Amino acid sequence: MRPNRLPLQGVRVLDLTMVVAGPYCTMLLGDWGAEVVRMDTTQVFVPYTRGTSPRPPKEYVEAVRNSGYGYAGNTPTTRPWNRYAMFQNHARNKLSLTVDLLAEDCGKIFDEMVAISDVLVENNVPSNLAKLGITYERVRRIRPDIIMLRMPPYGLGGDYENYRAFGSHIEAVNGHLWMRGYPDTDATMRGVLPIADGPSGIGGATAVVMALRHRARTGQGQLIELSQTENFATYLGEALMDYSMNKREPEIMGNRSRHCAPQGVYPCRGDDAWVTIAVSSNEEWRALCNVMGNPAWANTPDYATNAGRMRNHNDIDEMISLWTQHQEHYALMWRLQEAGVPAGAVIDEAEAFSDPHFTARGFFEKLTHPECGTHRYPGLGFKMRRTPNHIRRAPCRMGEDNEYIYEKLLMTEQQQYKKLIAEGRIGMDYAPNVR
Amino acid sequence: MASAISRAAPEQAQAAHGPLHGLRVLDLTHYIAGPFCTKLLADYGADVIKIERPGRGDGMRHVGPFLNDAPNPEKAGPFLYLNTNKFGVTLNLKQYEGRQLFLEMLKSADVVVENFSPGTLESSSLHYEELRKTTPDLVMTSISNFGQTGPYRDFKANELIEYGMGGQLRSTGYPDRPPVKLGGNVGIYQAGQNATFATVTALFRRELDGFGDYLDVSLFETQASNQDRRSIYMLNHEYTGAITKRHSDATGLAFGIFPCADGYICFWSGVNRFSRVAEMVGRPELMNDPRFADYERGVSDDAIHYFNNDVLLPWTLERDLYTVWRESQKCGLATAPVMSPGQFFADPYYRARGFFPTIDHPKAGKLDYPGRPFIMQNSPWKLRRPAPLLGQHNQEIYGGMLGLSTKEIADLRKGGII
Repeated sequence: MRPNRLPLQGVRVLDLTMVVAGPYCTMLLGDWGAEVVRMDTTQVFVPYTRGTSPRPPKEYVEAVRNSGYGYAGNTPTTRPWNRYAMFQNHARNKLSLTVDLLAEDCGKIFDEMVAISDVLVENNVPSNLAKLGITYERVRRIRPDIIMLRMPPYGLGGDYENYRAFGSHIEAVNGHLWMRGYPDTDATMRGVLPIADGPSGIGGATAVVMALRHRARTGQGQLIELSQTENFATYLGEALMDYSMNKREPEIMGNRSRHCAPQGVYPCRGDDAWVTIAVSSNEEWRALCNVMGNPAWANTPDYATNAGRMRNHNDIDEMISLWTQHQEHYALMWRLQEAGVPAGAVIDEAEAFSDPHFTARGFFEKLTHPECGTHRYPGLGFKMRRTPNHIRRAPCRMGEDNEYIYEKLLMTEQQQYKKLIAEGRIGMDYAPNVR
Repeated sequence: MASAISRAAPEQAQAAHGPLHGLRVLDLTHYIAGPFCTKLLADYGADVIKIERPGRGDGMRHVGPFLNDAPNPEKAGPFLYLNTNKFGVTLNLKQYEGRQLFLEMLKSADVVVENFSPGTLESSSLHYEELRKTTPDLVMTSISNFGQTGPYRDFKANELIEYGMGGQLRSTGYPDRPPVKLGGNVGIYQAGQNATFATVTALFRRELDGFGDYLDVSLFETQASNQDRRSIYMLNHEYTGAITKRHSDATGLAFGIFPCADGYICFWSGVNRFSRVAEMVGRPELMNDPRFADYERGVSDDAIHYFNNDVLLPWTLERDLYTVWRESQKCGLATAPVMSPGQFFADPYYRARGFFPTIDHPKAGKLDYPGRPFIMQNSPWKLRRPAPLLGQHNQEIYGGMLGLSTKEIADLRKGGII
């Protein structure tokens, strides 16, 4: 028996999310079958969602690719908001509706969407949502069994409720930034990285599906509050339990292990090529020595035990590096793994596309986007054996699904729909005055 | 098109129950990723029966930190945290009788979660196709390093190796130094939460149409699909040909981690917020400075260096952390203090929110643990029991649930089966 549907098919998600954490959550719901309707607006530009500005200068577009947040073809074209890699990466399997949310009569369109939706997800600064008059009370009045997920950085209520944060700030507050990085540098050299967006997206999607089950059994919807700092803090079990038990802050480990040695990232032949090695037993250490050709230095009696290797970690690292630096990182990974030594090539973005494991698992999927052309996109986060699944739709262009949603779902009178377009309040382009 | 999903008959609303109430999970997991997945299932209401091998139990019982630094399998902090709300039994699956007992338990189970090396369960005939013979609509979740198929399937790995292969290790760290991993084991935890998402998604469909499934969740694909840069950067490469490098923080105006009088603050202001930063530091005239006038097109490294080091840094240095945080937020900037895990643990805001519940464990005593990842108004996270002692619920499960006699249980114990 094959399933005739994806697990979340028949669930409609109204998506009021921004930047990455919220969109990642709704992407996961869309990947597994939900109909996700992204509510965009042509009247306001939300930075870091469909780009950093609506009409980024050409120079900016050409430069920003090196930081990882580029635009398809390195050109802005007339609609750069449909080409921004960060947005395109999570906008698959979604529909885009534009609504003039700031206008009073368009609040009515929001309400009509709520009435036909099962789930509402948002991750805005709470005071901004309040300005739009969107509250759980309001949506519940319209749709009593709705599930509303809110994902504030800190929480609803309290002093920090409306404090603005990206993923980088979330990991700064809950202790993760403090823990990571090189042991010999202070906090100014940790790097500003949006680490928390991943956990927030997965946590939010998990919460929504749990609530869907509760609703299926009880008929009851609910409000879910996911504090992004708290959700990510649940990933810090060792550090937080150590503090709870022993009032001890974690040692900053860099690439090393608290328990075993040697472990590190070692240079390989070529430009910026690396291999990771993580020895976790005497047996693996002996296997590593064998692969290295049993050099004399490695036979130091002190290195035969884990404790001895932990003590001499710097010396061992130096010797391993002298050996690895002449070797090719993929070949070395294979040699080490075949000998039973945990090791891996450090794979860059280009290598990933030709990597045999990515390929064998069918991770990348080819999609054709009407404005960007055909590209390979990163795929699904897990596999269901009896439910073969693929990306069903290319990233949504802003306003692309207006006609379907206004005319088919909301049954807006055609005259009214035409009027919204004519007045420039909805459409596929930002209003000329929007910056 | 009808939007409402078809629904089972509504039960009486039971506010006290978690959303997974009524589900039974057989938990064959150990260490972090698997136990974190089943912890979340248990914390939100499922009955999770954790199955450990007799004698040693879950390897995580032997990994510290321990209470008062005294190694004890019942006082390992990470184990206590990762196994809340579970029942615990011991069972030797390497023996025939052990496997028969497992199949008995399976008759009333909805879910099996495991994180053995791929192929392990095939060799003891406890793999999905076999278990489905007992429970046709079973949802089974396997969590592994690289997935159940593919050339790296049998590779050994840990957090560092996975972050290098699946994740964005390569551009994490500083340009003149080797790449550096994230803190602790966050990638492994993320795979665990990803497995929880996969499991509840499959369960949701199963309750509607009785269709079970087998879920292949890996640390590798959790990383590869991650929106912490990795998948974004891969698409960026496909779109532009660029490969990201490690970079120092001096890449943007008011971007980076800055020391204050009594701590550190993380700034990420963004190109379009420069006017707000300039006003915050009392230098609005910089907006007319030719070095910054065209900041949307980009400013020179020298200008960034000047602003960050000669304007913003002196401003943060002479203020305390919470003043800088408050003032920058008033200007609508995204900023946050760098807190240690201990500072976060003690922070009054999170204390007031009840994020750190106190849990009383028979051996480890009362301790504060990290609590719920999210608050569900009508089907709450709930603490029902602390992590199980090794074999704590053998009598309850084998006697109570399976109906074995005291003598039968004693024989199983003697035979090393439990």
